[in-house]
Amino acid sequence: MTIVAILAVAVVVIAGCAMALNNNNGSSAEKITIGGSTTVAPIMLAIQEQYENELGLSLSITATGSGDGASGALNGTIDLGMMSREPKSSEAGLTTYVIALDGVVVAVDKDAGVSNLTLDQINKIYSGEYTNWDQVGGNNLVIKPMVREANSGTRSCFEEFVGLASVDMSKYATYGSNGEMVTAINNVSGAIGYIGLGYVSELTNGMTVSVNGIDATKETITDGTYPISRSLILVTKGAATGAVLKLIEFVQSAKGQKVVEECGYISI
Amino acid sequence: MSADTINLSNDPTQMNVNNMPGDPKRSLFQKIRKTDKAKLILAGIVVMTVSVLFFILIFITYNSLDAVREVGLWDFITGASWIPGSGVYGASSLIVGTLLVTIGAVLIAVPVGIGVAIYLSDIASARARNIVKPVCELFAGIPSVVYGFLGIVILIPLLLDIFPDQLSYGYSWLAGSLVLAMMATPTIISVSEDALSAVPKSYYEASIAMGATKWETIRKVSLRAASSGLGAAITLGIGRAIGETMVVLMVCGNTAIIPEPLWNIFSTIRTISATIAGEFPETSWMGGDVHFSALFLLGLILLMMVLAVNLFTRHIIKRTKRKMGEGIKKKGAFAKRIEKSTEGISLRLERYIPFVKRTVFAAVIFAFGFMISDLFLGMVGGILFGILCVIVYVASIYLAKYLGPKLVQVFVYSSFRAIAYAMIVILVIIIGVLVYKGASALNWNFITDVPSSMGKTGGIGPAILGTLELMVLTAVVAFPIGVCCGIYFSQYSGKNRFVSVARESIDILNGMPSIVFGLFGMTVMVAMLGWGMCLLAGCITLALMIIPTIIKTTEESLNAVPHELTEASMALGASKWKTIVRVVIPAGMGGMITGMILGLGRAVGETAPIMLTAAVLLKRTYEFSLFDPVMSLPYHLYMLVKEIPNSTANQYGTALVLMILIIIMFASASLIRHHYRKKLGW
Repeated sequence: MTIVAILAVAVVVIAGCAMALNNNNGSSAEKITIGGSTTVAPIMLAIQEQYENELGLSLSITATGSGDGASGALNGTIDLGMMSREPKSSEAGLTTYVIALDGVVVAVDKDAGVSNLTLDQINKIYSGEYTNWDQVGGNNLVIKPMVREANSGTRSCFEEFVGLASVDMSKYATYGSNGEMVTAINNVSGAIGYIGLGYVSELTNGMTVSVNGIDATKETITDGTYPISRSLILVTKGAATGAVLKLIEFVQSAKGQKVVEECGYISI
Repeated sequence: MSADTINLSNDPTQMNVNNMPGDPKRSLFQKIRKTDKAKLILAGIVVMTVSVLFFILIFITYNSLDAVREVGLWDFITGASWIPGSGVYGASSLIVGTLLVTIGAVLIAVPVGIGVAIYLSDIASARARNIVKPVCELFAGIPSVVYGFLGIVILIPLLLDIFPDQLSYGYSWLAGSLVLAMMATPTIISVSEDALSAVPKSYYEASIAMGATKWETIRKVSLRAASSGLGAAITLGIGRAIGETMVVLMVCGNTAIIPEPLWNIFSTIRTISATIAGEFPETSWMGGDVHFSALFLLGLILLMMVLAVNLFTRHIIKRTKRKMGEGIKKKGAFAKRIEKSTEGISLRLERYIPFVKRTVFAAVIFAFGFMISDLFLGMVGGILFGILCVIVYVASIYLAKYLGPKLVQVFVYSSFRAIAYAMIVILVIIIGVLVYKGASALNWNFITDVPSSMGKTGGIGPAILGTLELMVLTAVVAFPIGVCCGIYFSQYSGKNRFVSVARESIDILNGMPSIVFGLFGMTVMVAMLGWGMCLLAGCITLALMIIPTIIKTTEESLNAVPHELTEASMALGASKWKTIVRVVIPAGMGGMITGMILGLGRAVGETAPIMLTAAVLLKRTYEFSLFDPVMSLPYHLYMLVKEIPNSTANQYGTALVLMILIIIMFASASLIRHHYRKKLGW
């Protein structure tokens, strides 16, 4: 009996707490669950932080990779998917909404001593042909290539442009998100990896390199001279309606695009 | 005398039913009508729990069939590469990875764990024991995600400093095994110490009286007498390491390769559980996705591995029990004759046994010496070092003979003491770092505010609230079911097939890796029932996980209630159910509540099932609904570590809050235990 009583009291207290705390937010907010690409996540997190109340929405955001955005939207486990690549043929049934442009930036350990790599050099590093930074004009330091997990949109974009799609990269350390990759590049000497533009500011012990002599900037990505770029998209199963559509339209609006720029990505 | 038999002598209807089980005139319906109603209801709940287990097993097997059909079981197990994107499903590297990481952890955790247990049971003063034992239990209660976090921020940079030439990424098999060993050791210590303390004092005294030293007694008598308990301790440790998800996902580098050479502990590695956790959300459950099915098959393989470990240890325990003279079976005439005819041979062979044993031991030592040094010195250096190790081993045997048993004992004891102190120092460092770095983040706003800038600043209010919601609702689901089953097993169950099947099933449920529950919860509730990621799905998944613990502790604490109490109540004319409710349960309450809190403590720290069923990265409102996703502390910590670079202050803050929550739960559990023990006075 005592236990039942304790539990009952706890339920009431917690529900009460939730309601009391929630009064600030107005409780009629429409709920949207968002999931998918870790590259796109910072944009949606910033939108959540700045405009959630204004839009009258209650957003729950999680970020595990583009593949999860597609399958989650299709499965119905989330309402809105974030992706940093186009849906594959196996992911048919999704409606896509472009919200930003992004370049995949190649980042290396500062001690590597390089500031520019050609696509061919990157290809040979990841194919295992180059194993030391002095082979590409850097210091005498072993190269430690890092990759993203299989469902990453950043990875598929990178591999497509660098021509690595058919190369076996299972021997390299694999990271589940942009953030994890940045942390690893900051920690491991001789590291090379690739990240979305939005994460460049997080590099502390690592640095970006230009590719084929071109830096990833707003101009070079917009005009297509930077060789590794893609669109960031939101996806829904079928066409978006109601609150979800309202949110997508907001991200595409001037206010939303300002957030995109603040996050380090390029507005459409 | 069991409670059941007491009941028979008091309750005439019950006696009838039990005395005439084979009465052909009695229909099943009548039988049921005559049986105690409470017993029926409780048995029904037990049947429900057991059928959930069978449902999970069938569900997982059924879903893995597609992969078996597409890839073929043999190709799946032996295939070299795992590239789901291109439809290549070869799990050999994942299976080997799981085994290697576990073996590495066990090689460290078992000697350390048993060493500390010996220290605690035979060497340490009572005061030291009273400090170290609860500390161990607390150690065992630290959530795995906190261990993973500390592995990344403390261990990996440290390893990179120590082995700059060997480690390529820091994230490695070595890091994984070290962290897992740290997680498994407290469990091993706690259970082994219980086993060693349970060895009858007379064994010990007899051995000492024969002139053996304390250490000789421990080695030759206590350890052997306690072997079944030690076996159980080791299984528990292995079980914890093999099914662990978060740590390996965080620190092993997740590369689906077999290390080259096989003993390269510096290699990155990937386990089955990490693969399921990392890849499951990206698969599609709507039929036809081989990847989805392949992950279920992985889950099934993991489950089989855990079961194999359990069965193997049970076999070992049975064998040692027989050796110790318990449960001796009568030998058949044939066996006797064979024994007689081989007696002479075995006597002659017996002389060589010590020699063979030592040779095998020396070979093992050589192999280990070679494997470790090979990574640093190359082939030739490895062989030389291996030989050196064997020489040291042989020399130490002679040295031990020369020094005599007393000095050996001094040496062995001081090394055990050193290990135990080292453990405490490590714990102090862990807690110290957490408190030191976390305290600066900790303030009122951190606890009540919503996160901002992707969790880098702001508070963790929604995560704390989400964790509390998960905790309370898990309790609401798990407690009634667990307690009812526990009462049934302790008060109503006799020895029949149904009860033994039910017990076995609950044991299996107890050993199931948490990621398998996540797999099940996500597919059934999140996807198929269409609830989406939500609080309710998370609670039910967690409840399934902790129900076995609650059943076990309830049963044990009710069994510990003295029979005199029950008999007195019965003698006063109370019915069986009334006796249970008014006498047995109140008397066993302390143990029951303690078990519940400890079970909940485990649920609170779990991350793997939650990340598949309920938890999201960020939610900035405090709404309460069963069908909404929630934030939770362990998942928030995991996501900060993984997704949000340079959020170190909030990572430490979150870890500290989680630790404080766990410590509060453990402290209240032990206070409650203490309170009830004092109140009841037996």
